[in-house]
This record gives sequence, structure tokens and C-alpha cells, in this order.
Amino acid sequence: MEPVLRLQKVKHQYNQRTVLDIPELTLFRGSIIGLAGPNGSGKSTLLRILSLVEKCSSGTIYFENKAVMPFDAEYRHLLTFLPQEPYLLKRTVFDNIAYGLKVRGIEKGLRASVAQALELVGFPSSFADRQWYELSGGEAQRVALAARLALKPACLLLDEPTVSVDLESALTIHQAILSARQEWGTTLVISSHHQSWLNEVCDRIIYLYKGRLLDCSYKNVLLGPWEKFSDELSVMTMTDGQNLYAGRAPNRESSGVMIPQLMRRDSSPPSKNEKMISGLVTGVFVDKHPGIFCIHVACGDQQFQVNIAEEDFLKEGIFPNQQVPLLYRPTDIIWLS
Amino acid sequence: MSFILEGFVKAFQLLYQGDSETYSAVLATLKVSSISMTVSLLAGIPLGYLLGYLDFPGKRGVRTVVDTLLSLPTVFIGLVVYAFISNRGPLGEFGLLFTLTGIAIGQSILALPIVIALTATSVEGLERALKLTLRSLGASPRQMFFTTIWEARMGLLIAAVTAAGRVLTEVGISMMVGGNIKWHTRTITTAIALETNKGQFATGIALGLVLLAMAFAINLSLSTLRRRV
Repeated sequence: MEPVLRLQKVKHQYNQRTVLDIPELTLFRGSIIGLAGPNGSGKSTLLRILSLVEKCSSGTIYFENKAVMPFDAEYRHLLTFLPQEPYLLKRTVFDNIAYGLKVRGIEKGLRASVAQALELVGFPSSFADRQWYELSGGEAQRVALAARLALKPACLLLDEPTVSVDLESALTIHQAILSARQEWGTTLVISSHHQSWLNEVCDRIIYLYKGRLLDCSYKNVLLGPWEKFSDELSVMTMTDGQNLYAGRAPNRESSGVMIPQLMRRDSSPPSKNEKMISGLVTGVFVDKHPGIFCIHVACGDQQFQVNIAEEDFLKEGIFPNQQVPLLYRPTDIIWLS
Repeated sequence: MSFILEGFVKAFQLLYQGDSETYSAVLATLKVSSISMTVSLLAGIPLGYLLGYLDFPGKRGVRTVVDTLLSLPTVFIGLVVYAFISNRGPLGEFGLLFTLTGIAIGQSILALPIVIALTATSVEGLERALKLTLRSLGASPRQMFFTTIWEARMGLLIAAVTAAGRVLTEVGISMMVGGNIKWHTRTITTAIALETNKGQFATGIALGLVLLAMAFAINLSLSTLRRRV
């Protein structure tokens, strides 16, 4: 696959505090990349830097293998970014959607382009005559997305596109976003807390923690804080009161990961080296690998992903809202920092 | 009391009959305030935009200076402009003293900080998301300037009306720089001052009514524009 965006040694600081530190990141043309991570992990900053609307403190951004600068006239028309709280101009819906086209010097066929973009986000063309103050939060979000889709961008970067909208709007927005890749081969970079949707649609998920990239194969990130339990073990108390044990943590604030394949959903008693926790099934998804199902289990606010073979899944009949035991070995937790 | 009432009656007569002296002062006021408002808006809006939009070292200091200039006394501006454009001043060779252009220069200095400060406040008051949105849609710096100004249009209208109010009603600059010369640099406010001193209340009241009508017209157009935009 052809690289479309590449970051090299990118660092970004606010008031001398490093909020982003990415040695290398390559995004490929036409792919859908998910950005996951807790609040304040640097997702929005990374999206602004990738979309060339913010200058990073150091490092280089390559677009189609050419080093580019933020606000670069040649490239700023190829990328577009939908902020978490988009601003609608104090004009009609038509003017809002046509704005990006007009700044690109497109004057002909505006009505048709706006109508097409509105249709993608589930509005009739007559919606174009509405004033900005006549829109609800969900409608405003869809209009803001339509303004980006009208540009038929090479890259579309979205920051929590469904964070403050109702379920119906969220579904429409999800469909509209995917149509961009289907229609124009747009590369999509999506930051979202909607983990199950990211798992479903993304070719790749990048996990960010404290401004650093974690390998995308790591699903179960354990952020601590850790307390000493014994000479060999550390313990983290989850919000539901259960203890999660790990090998000795390097420090109290260390972050670790548990590879999904190494967790077992099993009712049998734990072996000598194993520990058991119990959680609620919040979702069941089909993995990209054939014959594998992913189960999301919540223990308080800690989410775990456990992989299970299709035959076991069908035999045991796992369903959402079911309480299930999970077995793991504390020594399987890998420390990242 | 009767002389005041008589003054009002005579004032309406003067206006109705098209008294040339009265209308000369009105015309001079309109000319000079149009020039000063045009200059202050053309210079003040871009400067106010830059002050409100950009973050730069010393911004707070610049803002403090601009805000201080909001309360510049008109006689002080008149004094400074007089010193610069009088024969002994550095701009004396241009012969601007006791001309409408001279008054317009002084009034532009009066209006400029008002336009800059209120424009900067309007631009600062816009949501920070606007800048990000415009950049994300691919706007150039020039397009961002015009779009931001349009988004802040209500604040800019208020800035223009406030500045126009100050320019129309000032006496100090017109008196000191213009010299209150009949048929030439006599504006409404200097004429009112002179006629009142002479005991000619009718002319003073007539001119005062014209000033009120101008203020009313400006505010009416503002409220009409508000409804339209």
C-alpha cells in the first residue's frame, strides 16, 4: 500500500510540557485508522498536526512522501479535519457547506455539490436554506461533516465525530464517514471512544497514551496506579473493587498491557499461577481473523478484550450483560513504562 | 422658559427655510466625519483584527495602550494635531491648519483607538473553534481575515457607531484645528458653541436637532442591519 501521511520524530509541547512524542507513524492511502486512548492522551493534538492545521514543535510531516509545512497552500486543500466541537458560520447551511468549495475557487455546481453532501448525512436538499441558529446539536454536527464531505478530500480526519449526538445521528454520521472511502477512496483517521465501532470498521487502531503510541496489537492497556502487593507482585484496585495483579511494576504510575490472546474466559478454577477477575460482557464482535470472536468485558471502568474461538463461543452462548470470569497470569502483563 | 420654546420654533423655521449658514455647518460636519470614519475604519478594522486574532509578545501592553487611548481628550488631540500642522510644525508646509482635512486628521486619531479596541474585543470574543474550522476547510490567511470579520460583523457595527458618535459630537478638535471659520470649517458642534455664546439659541437648537437626527439615523440603520445580518 502507498503511504499517504507519515510523521517522523514529531514532538509537540505546550508550555514546555511534551504532549506528543511520535518517533515514526505511517498511514496508508485508502485505509481507515482508529485513534483510541484516554482523555488527554494526545489524540486531538495528533489529528490537528496530521491535518496540517497546527504546527508541531519539532519533526517532519510527509504527505505523499513530500515534506509539508502546516497551512501549506498546496496541501491544505487535500486534507480536511472535523474538530470535536465544529464551528458553524453564522450563515445558512448552504453557505456553511459551500464555504470550503468557494475557498478552493469552485463556483460552478455548488447547489448540486451541497445537495449531494447533505444527502450523505441524511438531509434533503431543502435543508440547505436553514439558518445556523435553527439547527440542533446533532444536526449541526452532520452539517459540519457534510461541509467536509463536499470537498471529497484525500484525507479526512475526525475528532470524536459522534461524541455529543444522539444514536440516530451517530449511525448516520458513521455511514456518511464510511461512504467517503467507498466513493472517493478517502483515507480516514478517526478518534473515538466508540471502541466497538473502531474495531468494526478500522483497518488499524493506534492507541495513544500520554502522547506516545502503543503498538496497535495491545488492546488491554492498564494504566495503574499500582501498589506493592508482595516482592513479586503489584496490585491495582479497579473501580469495582476487584484487584488486578501483575508482576512488580517499575513504578506506581507505570502502564502495562495484557495481550487479549493471553486472557481466558473460563469457569474452571484458576491454576497456581493464575488469577481470576469477573466482569460484565459489554459487547461481542467478529474479529478480522476468521474463526475468532472478540468479547469486551468491563470490570468497573477497566475494559478488557478477550479473544475466543468461534466454536467455543457458539458452544458456551456468550451474550452481552452476562457476568463472566476471566483468567490471567500476572506475569503476562507487559510493562510499557 | 419662553426663550427656549421660541428657540425651538425658530430652529424649525431655519431648517425648513434652508438657512444657508446652518446647512453649511451640517455639510462641513458630514464631509469631515465621513472622511475620518472612512480612514479610521479602513485602518482600525485590520489593526483590531490583528490585535484580537494574533498572540504575540507584548500584546497585553499594546492592548493597554489602545484602551488608554479610548479616553483621549479631544482638546489634547486638537493640541497635538495643531502643533504638527501649524506653520512651525513638521507638517506645516502642507497648509492643513484651519481646513476640513486638518479636522479629519484629528477626528481619525480620535476614532481609531475606538475602532481598534472594539474590533479586537469582537474578534477575541469569537469562539476559538472558528480559527480551527477555517483552517480545516482550507482557507488562506486572506480568506480567514474576511470570514472572521464577517463573523464579528455585529461587534464591528457597534464599533463603527460608537466611533461615529464620538466623531460627530466632538468640539475640541474642530475648534482648535478648524478654527470655526464661517462657511469653511464651522461644524455643527463649533457652531452650537458659538451661537450659544452669542445668545442665538434658535440656530444652536436647530443644529442640535440636526445632530440628534443624525444620531437617530445611524442607530436606525444599525438596528436595520442587525435584523438583516
